[in-house]
Amino acid sequence: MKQQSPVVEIAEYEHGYHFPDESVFKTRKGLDEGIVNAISHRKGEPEWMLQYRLRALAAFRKKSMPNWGADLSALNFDDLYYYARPQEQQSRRWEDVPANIKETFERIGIPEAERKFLAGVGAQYDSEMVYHSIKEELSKKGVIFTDPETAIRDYPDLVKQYFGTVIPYLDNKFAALNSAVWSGGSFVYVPKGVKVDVPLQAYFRINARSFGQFERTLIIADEGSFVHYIEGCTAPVYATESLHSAVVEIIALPGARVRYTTIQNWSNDVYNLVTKRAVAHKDAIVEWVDGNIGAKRTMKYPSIYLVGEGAHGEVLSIAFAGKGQEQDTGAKAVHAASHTSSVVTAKSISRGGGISTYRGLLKVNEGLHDVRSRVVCDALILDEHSRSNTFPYMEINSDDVSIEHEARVSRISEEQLFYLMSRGMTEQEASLMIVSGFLDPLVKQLPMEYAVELNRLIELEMEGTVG
Amino acid sequence: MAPSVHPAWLDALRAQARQKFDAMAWPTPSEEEWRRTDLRTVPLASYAPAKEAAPACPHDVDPEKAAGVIRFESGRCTSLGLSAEAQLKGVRFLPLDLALEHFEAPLHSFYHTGLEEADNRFLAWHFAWLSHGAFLWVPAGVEIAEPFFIDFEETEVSAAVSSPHVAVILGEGAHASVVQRFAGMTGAGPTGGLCNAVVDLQVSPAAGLQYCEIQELGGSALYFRHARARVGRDASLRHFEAQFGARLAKTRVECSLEGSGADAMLDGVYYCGSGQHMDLRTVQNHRATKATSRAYYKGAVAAGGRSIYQGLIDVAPGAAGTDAYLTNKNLILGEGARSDSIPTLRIGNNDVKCSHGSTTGKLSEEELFYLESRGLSRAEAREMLVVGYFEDLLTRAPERYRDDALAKIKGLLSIAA
Repeated sequence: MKQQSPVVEIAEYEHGYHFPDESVFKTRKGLDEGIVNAISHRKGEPEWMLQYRLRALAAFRKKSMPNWGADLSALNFDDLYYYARPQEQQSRRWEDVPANIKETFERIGIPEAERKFLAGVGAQYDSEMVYHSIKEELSKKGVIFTDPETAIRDYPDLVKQYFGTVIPYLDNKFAALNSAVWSGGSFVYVPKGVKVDVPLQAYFRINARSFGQFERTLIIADEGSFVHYIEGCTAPVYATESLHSAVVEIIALPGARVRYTTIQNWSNDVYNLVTKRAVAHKDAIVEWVDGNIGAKRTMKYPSIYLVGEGAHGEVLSIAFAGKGQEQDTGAKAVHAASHTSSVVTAKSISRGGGISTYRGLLKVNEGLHDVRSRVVCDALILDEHSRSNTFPYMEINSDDVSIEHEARVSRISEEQLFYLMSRGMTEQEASLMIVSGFLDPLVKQLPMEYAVELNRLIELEMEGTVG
Repeated sequence: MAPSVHPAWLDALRAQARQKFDAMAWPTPSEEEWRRTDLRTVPLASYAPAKEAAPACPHDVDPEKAAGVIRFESGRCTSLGLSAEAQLKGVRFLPLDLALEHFEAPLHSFYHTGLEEADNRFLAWHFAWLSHGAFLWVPAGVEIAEPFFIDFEETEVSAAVSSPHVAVILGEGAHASVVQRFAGMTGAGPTGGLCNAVVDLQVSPAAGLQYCEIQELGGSALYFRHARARVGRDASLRHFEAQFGARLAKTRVECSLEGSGADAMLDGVYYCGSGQHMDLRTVQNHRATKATSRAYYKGAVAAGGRSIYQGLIDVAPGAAGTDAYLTNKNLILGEGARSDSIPTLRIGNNDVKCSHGSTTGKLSEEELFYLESRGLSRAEAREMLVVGYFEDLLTRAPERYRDDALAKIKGLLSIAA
């Protein structure tokens, strides 16, 4: 096994790197019917998907920008590319992946991870899957793990049944945009009763200047199944703004459990405006683990609609807002059935003038019984230039409920610092230890290699916070 | 008694307010503060100003155990009394039209700032149609232990707008307590009256003010209230509101902690019965260092009622050493009740201790069962638990106010049962 040295990689990543843009096919800047037609044609899509894209484009034009949340005033939709395809054919084997793309992956550490632990890797370079492998046993169990383009071709009935049902294109401006120009992403189907015991991973990359990446992920967990899907994002540093606007839909059918883990570390010039939503049917469990470290502006509120009795939803969210960053993140839990429960735990850190905002909704529909929910938000502000906001909305329309919410905003306490420094630590080390302790309950929820990566990222972000 | 006085500046201010009113539109659900209170179905344009009340000609009354009493009926001041002690210490307690004669300067300043800062049409409307109100001034260093009572018995005329204003100024180191009540608008038919009140409180450095409001307007009334408090260095404010009446109540208590060491406590209880819509907002504005604020709102919502509580702690970048807390609790009493809780934080500074908490739930079956097993009827057990739920907050209010509020809650519960 090749020895990794992620500290060096991450440190280099901080300065940014990218390879010359070798996209084979790329649309011109801007967005209109011609572009949408070109994307659809290029992908050889059936007519119904083209029509869906065109309806979504019309909705995108009609929908207004959100009048709340992060500052998006510098975002110019006409100055972006909406589609680029890195190479003609999807590679079947790792050996066939072009060398420069491989090198990028290598620096993030994918090959090792894939060879060592992982069942399948759908790795995304620019807006299309370039590499995809599923281990034999998963295929045998009937698990489908592919890109949505392939799914439309090979499993049209499944796609037609679920695509856009959790997040319709009319939902919001960015969901409409994604629905019009989506490209790449993951399609996962886990058959009845199948438990996927190793996490499925997909790495996403942005590597073209001013390039908007609009991946589309659809996860269907059939009755009594289990799957853990992991998505990580990294991007090279560019001076011009990039837009990332994904749509992720999860359907957890009766008795299924889906866990979705993201550590987002886009470079600090990316707009990350993502719609993520899950539907949990009877006795299903959906868990979102959502870490937001990078990006210039993030607006992301993983949601769970609890539509069947006995369903349970959990969201764990970490946000780190550094210099020039605005992390507007949170969670939504909508209780639409009796005997449902949800837990939201959010932790945020602001430093260097960064703004972190928790924005959440907890809703209990009418006429329900035995609904329980707990929402806890903790924020740390590391210096006097940074800001932290908390906007939890609670709309309770039933009487038989138990709803709790707590939020705290504080700084690193002098007493804790003093104690650690009196034990021989420097102020930097002591601060880092306190921050790590603050995030610990969430980091524990991550698979080991992600926990290591997150800890290193936090370490990196914390550099130079003292003095 | 002196006739009603309208100084030229007041007429000018009304005209200015009218202009501002015309330039603004009614708030719509696209504004966050009004998102849950949709006025589009309320025919606001059909409401007209109440007929101008006759000049104040109050009966002198003995305030008995109070420091002062003032009573308005349909916009007209009908009785007025001030204790000998308060008179001796130079306290002024007057209906607005009389106050305008003697206290032009502070009222002029209150009205102008109020109008300048008007950020919605109701505030502009208030100043344009300003009808009546009370003025309390306590000189520096004067401490009055007994409360001042301000009692508004509002108009019974259908679709009439009443725009009362209360202004309280405490000089440096002064201490006073006010109990203010809105009632009436009970028999005005389905349209009811509309009360659009503004309360202005100025608590000078080292002063201490307790201000308690109880609102028990009739079930067809519309009630809008904006209270604005400025709390100076080392001063303290205890603001208490009890919201019981009106078909629709939309209120805002905005408290600015403007001096170092200021301290504010915003407490509220609400009982939202069937068919009622209550949307209450508090703002704890920390503008100075080392200030402390607490907001504690407790409500009960019956079947068919809708309550919204929106709280904000807003800490300015320079307000180091801030200690702020916000709690909202909702008790849901029946199927079909709706209760929204939105406690929010906006923190621009790291030297703070800020937190909030919110709970929503129903009466505990175990507790009800326990009381029933001790021989209480279901209704008695419910009453006991609900009263107990509110009592812990109401013990912080003055005795007479607490007793009035608890009696009102018991009355409402027996109607609902």
